[in-house]
Amino acid sequence: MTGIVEGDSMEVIEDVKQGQNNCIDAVNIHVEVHVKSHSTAKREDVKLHVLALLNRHRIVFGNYSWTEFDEEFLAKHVESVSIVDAERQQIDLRSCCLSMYIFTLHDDGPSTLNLEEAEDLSAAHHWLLPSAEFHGIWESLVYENGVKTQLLDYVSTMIFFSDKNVDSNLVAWNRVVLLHGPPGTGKTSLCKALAQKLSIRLLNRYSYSQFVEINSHSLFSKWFSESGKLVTKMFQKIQQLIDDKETLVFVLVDEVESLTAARNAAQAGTEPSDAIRVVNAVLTQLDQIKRHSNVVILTTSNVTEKIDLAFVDRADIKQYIGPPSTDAIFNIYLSCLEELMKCQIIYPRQQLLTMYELETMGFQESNVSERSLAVQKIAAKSRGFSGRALRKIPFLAHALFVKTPKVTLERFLQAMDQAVSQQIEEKANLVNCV
Amino acid sequence: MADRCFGQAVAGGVDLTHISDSDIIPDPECSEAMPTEGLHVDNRTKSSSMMDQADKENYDLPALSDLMLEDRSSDDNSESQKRTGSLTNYTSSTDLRAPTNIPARQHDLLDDEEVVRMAKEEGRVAVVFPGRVTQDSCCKIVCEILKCVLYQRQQLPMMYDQLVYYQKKQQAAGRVEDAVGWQAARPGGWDWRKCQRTLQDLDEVMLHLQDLFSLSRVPRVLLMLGGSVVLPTELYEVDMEALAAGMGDGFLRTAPCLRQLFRALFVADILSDARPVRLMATTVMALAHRDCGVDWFRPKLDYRVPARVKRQIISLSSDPALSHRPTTQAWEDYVWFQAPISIKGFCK
Repeated sequence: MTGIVEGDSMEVIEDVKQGQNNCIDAVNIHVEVHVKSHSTAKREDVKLHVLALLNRHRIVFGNYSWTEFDEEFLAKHVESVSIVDAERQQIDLRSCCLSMYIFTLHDDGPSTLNLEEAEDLSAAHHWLLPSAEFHGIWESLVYENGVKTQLLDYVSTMIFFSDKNVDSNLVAWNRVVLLHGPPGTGKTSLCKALAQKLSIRLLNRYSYSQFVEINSHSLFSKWFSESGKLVTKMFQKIQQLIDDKETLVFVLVDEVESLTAARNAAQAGTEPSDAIRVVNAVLTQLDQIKRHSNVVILTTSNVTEKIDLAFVDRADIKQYIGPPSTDAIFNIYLSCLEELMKCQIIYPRQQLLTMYELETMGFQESNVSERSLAVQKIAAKSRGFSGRALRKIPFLAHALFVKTPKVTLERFLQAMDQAVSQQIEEKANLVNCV
Repeated sequence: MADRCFGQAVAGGVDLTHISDSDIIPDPECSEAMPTEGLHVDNRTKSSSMMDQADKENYDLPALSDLMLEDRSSDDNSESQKRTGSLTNYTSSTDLRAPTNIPARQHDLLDDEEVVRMAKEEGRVAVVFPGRVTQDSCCKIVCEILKCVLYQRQQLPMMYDQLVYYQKKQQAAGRVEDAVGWQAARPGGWDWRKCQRTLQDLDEVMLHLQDLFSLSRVPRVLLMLGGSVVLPTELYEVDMEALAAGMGDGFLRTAPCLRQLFRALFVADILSDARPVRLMATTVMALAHRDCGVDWFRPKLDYRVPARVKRQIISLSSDPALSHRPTTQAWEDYVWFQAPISIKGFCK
C-alpha cells in the first residue's frame, strides 16, 4: 500500500481511537467514502483507489467532497469521497492521520417491531444504518459552539471506555443523552444524524448499526396495569437486538416526557397510578440496558420540567438545543440557496461567500460580498425563528413572491426578505389573538 | 434377481405415490412427471438388466434416483459403494434386504427417525441427491421451497399453483363484470388485488432468481420472514454448497429431486406449527459471486447471517462420491445479494 502512497507519513488508520493513540501530534482527518449501493467491489480495492485520489490532491482546505471522478474505477463504484469535520484551515494530507470509512447506504425503509399483543400497532420503527433516509442530515444541521462535535465525542468516549473495560461501578456512565429545547430546533433530526454519523465512524468496530425509534404512545395499554408490562416487552425486543455484540443499537425515545412524566404529579392525583408504573418500568429497564456496551439511548423533549427527576439524573448529557444564532441562520439560508441554484430555480448561479470568508473580509461592502451581505441582513432579521421555520422561508418566498420558474438571485433575496417580514407579522398576529 | 429388484422398486414407487398424493407438491413438473411413472418401471427393469453388464457409468439416472429414494437410509458409505462399487456390491446390498420387505421398511423408518431427530435437534434437514443437479434444477428447487414455506407458514391462503389458477379464473370472470365497479374486486371475501400483488411480487422474485442462477453458482439462499434482515422472525436457509451443480448432460431430472426433497421435508416436519402466524413480509437473499453482474438484486457486502435467530437449514448435497465438497476458500468471492422487494403475505 505504501508503494501507491508516496510519502511515508500518510497512513490509513482503521479506528478513530487507534488513530489518536498512534499519532498523537498529527491531525486526524476523517475521510468518508460513500460506495454506490450496486457496487460489489472489494473494500480493499476501493481503499487503494481512494488513497491514490487523495495522493493526487494533497492539499485541501477544510471540508471537501469529491463527487466526480476521472478514474473509471472510482466513477463506477464510488458516489463520493468527503473529508469531513475538519478544521477550517489548509490541510496537507501527507502530514495527517487518515481515518477512512468505506460505507454503502441501506436503501430499504424502516421495518416495524411489533409487540405480540398489540396486533397491528407497531411499537417501534427500526432502521439499518447507515440509512439512505438519514443521509445528509448531519451536514444540514447547523449549531454553534460545537454541539455536534461534543455529542460525537461523548459517544466515542463511551464506546472507548467500554472497549477498555472500565469498571462501570467506579466510573459510571448511563448511555443516555437528553436533548431538550423549543420545538423545531432539530432535536429529533440531530439524534438521527448522530446515529448515522456514528454508524459510519464505528464501521470498523461494529459491522452494523441499528436505529430503533420507540412510539411511546403505543406502550400505553387500555388495560389497567398492562402499560408497565408493555414497556418491559419493548425493552425485551431491544435486548434481542443488543444481544448481538457485533451491532451498535441506538434507541430513540422521542418526546420522552410522555414516558417519564414526573411521578410527583401523580401524588397530586392528576396522574393515574398506571403512569407511575410506566415511569418505574422505564427507569429499571434503562438500568438493565446500560450494562451492555453496544447501546446508546437518545431522548428528546420540549417540556423538561415535566420529566421525572430520576430520569433527568440518568442522562449523561443534557444538551439544550436552542433557536439558531444569526451565524447559524446565515448558514441555513446559504445551504438553501445553494440547493436552489443546483436545481436551477435560481439562475444564473452566483458565488455566495461563507460566514468565515465574510469575517476575513471584515464585512466590507464590495462586488463580491454584496449578495452575501444581503443574505446576512435577512438572517439577522429572522432571529428567533426555529430551524424548521427557517428552512421553509425559501419555499414560502418562491410560492408567495416569485411565481416564475426561473429567478435571479437578487430578485429571490428580495422575495425572501418579504417572506421573513410576513412570517414576523403572522407570529405577532398569533400572539394578539391569544 | 431382476424380479427382486423390480419388487423393491415398486415398493419404492408406492412410497412415492403416497407422497405425491399427500399434496405437498402441486408442481406442474410433477404432474407432468406422473404419466411417465409407468415408463420408470420399464426403465428400472431395463436398468437392472443393464446392471448385469456392469455398465455403471451409463446407468439411467432418473430410474436410479427413484431406487435411491428407498435406499436413502443407507449411510454415505454404503451409498457411495453402490454408486462407485461394482455390481457385486450392488447385488449383495439388495440381497441383504430382499428376502422380505420388512427389514427394508424398518430401515426406512429408522431413517425417518434420524431425519426427525436432525430436524428437532439441529434444525437441519439433509437431503442427499444421488447425482449431479443442473443450475436450472437448483433454481426450481429453491422456488418450490419458497412457495412451500410461504404456504406452510400461513402467508398464502392456499398453495401457489392453486392460487394462480383461481386468480386466472377470477380475472376471466372479472373482465365480464368490470363495469360493476370496484366492489366486484372481492367476491367470496377475497381481496383479489392483494392476492394479485403478492403473486406478482413472488413471480418477480422467482423470475430474477432464475436470472441469478444462470449468472452464478448460488451456494446458499436465505428466506426471511418478518422482522428485519438482521433479526427476522423466522429464518430458513437452503444450503447447496455441497451440491454438485452445473450445466450440460448427465444430470438428475428435477421432478424426482423435488419428490425426494419434499418427502424429507414432510417427514422432518419443520414447517408446520399449529399456532396461527401473523402476516409478514418475506425477504429473499442469495449468496452469489461478486462479479456475476446481476443488477436486480442489491449486494450486501457486510451482511452476516443472523446467528441469534433459530434457523431451519435445508441442506441439499450430492452424493459425496460424485463430488468433492468445495473448500471454504472457494466461497471467498461470494457475497450476499438481497431481493429489493419483499413478498407480503395475505389471507382472505
